[in-house]
Amino acid sequence: MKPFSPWSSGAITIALLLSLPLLTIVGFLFSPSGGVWSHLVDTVLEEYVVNSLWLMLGVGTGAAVLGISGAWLTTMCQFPGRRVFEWALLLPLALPGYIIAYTYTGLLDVAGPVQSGLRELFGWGFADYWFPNIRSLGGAMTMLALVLYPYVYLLTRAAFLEQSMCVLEVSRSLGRGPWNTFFRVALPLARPAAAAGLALVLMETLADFGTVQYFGVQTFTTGIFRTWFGLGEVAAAAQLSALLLGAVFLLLALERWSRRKARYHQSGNRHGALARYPLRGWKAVGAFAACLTPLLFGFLIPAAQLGVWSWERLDTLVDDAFLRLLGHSIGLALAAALLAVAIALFMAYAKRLRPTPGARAAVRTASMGYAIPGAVIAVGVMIPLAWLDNAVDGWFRQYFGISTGLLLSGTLFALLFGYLVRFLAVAINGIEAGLLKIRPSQEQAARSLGLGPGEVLRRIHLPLLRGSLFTALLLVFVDVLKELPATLILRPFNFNTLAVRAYELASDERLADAAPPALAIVVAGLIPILILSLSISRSRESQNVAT
Amino acid sequence: MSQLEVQQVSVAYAENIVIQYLDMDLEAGKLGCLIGPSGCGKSTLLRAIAGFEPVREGSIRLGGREISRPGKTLPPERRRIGMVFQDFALFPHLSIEDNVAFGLRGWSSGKRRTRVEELLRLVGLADRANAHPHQLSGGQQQRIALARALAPKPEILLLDEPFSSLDAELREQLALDVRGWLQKEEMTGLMVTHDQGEALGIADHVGLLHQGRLLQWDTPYRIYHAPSHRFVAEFIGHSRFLPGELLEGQQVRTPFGCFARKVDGIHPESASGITCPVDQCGQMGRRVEVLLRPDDFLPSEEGTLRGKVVERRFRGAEYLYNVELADGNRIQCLAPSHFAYQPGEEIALLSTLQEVVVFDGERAVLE
Repeated sequence: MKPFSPWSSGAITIALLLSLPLLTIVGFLFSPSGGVWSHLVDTVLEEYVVNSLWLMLGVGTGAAVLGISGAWLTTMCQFPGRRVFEWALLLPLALPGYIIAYTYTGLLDVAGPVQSGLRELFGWGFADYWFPNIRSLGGAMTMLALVLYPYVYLLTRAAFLEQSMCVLEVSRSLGRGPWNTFFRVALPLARPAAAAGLALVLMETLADFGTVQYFGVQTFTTGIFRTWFGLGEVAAAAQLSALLLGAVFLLLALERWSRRKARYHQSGNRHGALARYPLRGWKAVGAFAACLTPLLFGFLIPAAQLGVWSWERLDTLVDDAFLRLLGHSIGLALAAALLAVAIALFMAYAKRLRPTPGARAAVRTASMGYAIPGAVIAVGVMIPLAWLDNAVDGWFRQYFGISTGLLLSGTLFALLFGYLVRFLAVAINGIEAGLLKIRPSQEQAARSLGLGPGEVLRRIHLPLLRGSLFTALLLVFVDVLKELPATLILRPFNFNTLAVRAYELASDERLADAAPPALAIVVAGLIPILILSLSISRSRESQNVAT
Repeated sequence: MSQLEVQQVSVAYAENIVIQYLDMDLEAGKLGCLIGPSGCGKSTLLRAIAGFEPVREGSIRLGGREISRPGKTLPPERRRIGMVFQDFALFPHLSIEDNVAFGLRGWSSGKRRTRVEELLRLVGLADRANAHPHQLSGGQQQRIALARALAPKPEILLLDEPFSSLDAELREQLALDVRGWLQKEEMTGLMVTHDQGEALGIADHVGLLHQGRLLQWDTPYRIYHAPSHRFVAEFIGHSRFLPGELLEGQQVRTPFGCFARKVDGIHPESASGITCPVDQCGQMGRRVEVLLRPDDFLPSEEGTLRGKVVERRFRGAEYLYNVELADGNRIQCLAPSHFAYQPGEEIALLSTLQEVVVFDGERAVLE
């Protein structure tokens, strides 16, 4: 073995750079922050903790019920519309929390169509009736549960498909009815998968900034913003971030552990012919309604409302400001996606060529950012870059008498760096999965036919990886397009993207004006859903072939 | 002349020694087969010859050129080898034609086309040149993988369990085809397989590996009839061992008579099987074990050996019987399946033994 390899040492260097924000945040745990921290503990910290916990409980329960019931009905039962629901239940994933939140606000507030309709119908006055306030903790729970349940749905569905053949038929042959089989066999077996999905939901809940901020619910992420911008307390913001990070890592550990367990719970690898329970009459109607509800409220209604608003603002759709916004967003997302794919390819290769402990650790470290809330990453990026800027500025002023100002922080560089930290994992996962599909024997065949390692890469790997590279590019592109908190903190002054603009307009109560950028984000968000649905229908085809 | 020379080769992964001091020669134009239980090191040996594993000791020479020694491993792409894998490893993004032409670099396009056509005709798939791998059946894919490996006229063709992912019928036909193609191309081949029938059926030389050692490297006939180790005798075909004694004059006493001993494959002059009845055999000698194969006995009215059928296995053309002799020893015998004896039935057996192989411990007695 050669002691030095440019591949692994390159991968390790990149991983170290990308873990800089994380190290910064963790480092602040050990630095004193004076009175602000104790002030926070005395006043708002309890509220942050309590609200975050309630939010997790509410969103978790909602997502579990919606996700597991949807997965069970679409995999195990036969009723009209099942095949459509199978992929359509993923659609709510296209809506970022902050967009569905402001859409429902527009729909449900006093002047909105729902309350106006009720007043007209019953002849009520403005103060005559009680109507739930959507801008509340309960509202935030509902919104997030509606758009996050697909994580539970996806993983649980996969688990149900795995177990389908063997165990469930045994249970049925032993005389257990459908409900009994569900609660005594299927659900316990799918529990690790459901728990992994739930852990993802809770991580996203903790990372959410737009929804809770818009609804005025104080949680960790809004607290970080307030401490940073409102109080100007960097250290305290970093320490709040560290606390949030601790919670996220607990969830991450839970997710990893569940996935490992899920492997042991797989009872067989044959999907085989699955005899679904045929549902008739009111049972079929019930199943249909149970699947339609999350789809209707999580996607169809808000998407329709956004469409209506955009139609009303058709003139702004083509104006220069909107096009500039679109250009910014697409350019930024494309740049981040290309960078992420190039770096991910490099790192995944380094690991494949020489799976040394160093290379493995590098890939794992670089993939960690996906779990970290955008707000935390933003704080972690800002602090070291600002420090570097100040150091450079001071040095130049001392020796040359000129001020260099802000070179890195508050520039597109900082923004791109933040995106890389957060979304590199998406690209790495996709490319590693693609590489796994290329069997070592194919490389060896090419080597035995006279090709060197470099040529193997060019003539075998790249052509075979094209699909994975493109998918990774798309996924990162869409994620960047949707990302709100990191963009909000790291963007250069007056540099706007679709997400930021939609959020700002909605915050100013210009709900209809916010619709065109929001709709653009939702449309882009549909791309990954489409890819997922395709892979689902492909798995269904292979299921049919097996029968 | 030896095309492949493996001398005192050891291969190890970290502390785990997989192959120990292995010697092997393969003549040009011959087909060798390596067999052995899983984990015996046969695939590792093949990968060392291909250049995917470095050797820790010894050397490997191919066509007179040294390709591996400790600290120096010629990379696979410069060894002029052809390799065929269990999973075919065709390139899914290239057409059949391009797959076969893949190794023909530096050939003029005219010569390349001729060579590709020649090989596609050889493997009987000339009409599928423009297809893609996924459009072919498993057997067809393996034919293309063979054509691709043969195309650049390598010094040796290495085959790593090439037929094990195909079904039995296809496997047999393809194995015979491969033998023919190799002869036609005058190609030296070395194949790893776990199917001993395949190895014995098509190879010129068979090597049996066990725990990283090459126990015997010999013709198929001698691997079966003159095994050098007890393990070889047990691994190849069915075998039973009965106690015996080594007597003077190349005689072996068994519970049912004396036999001439097979001395390293030289057939003794006596061809009459039993040389004398057991009670007339000479004095006591060295204790050994005698190898008996099921084809050494036939159920027959004329048989002198009596036993009871304890178990039988139907094998299509014949039954394999397990017969318990009067002294409690058990032997196996084969009989055409037209006559079926029932378990529990008393039968008479005729020995067709000519000479016997005897073992003292693990090794065959040769001197």
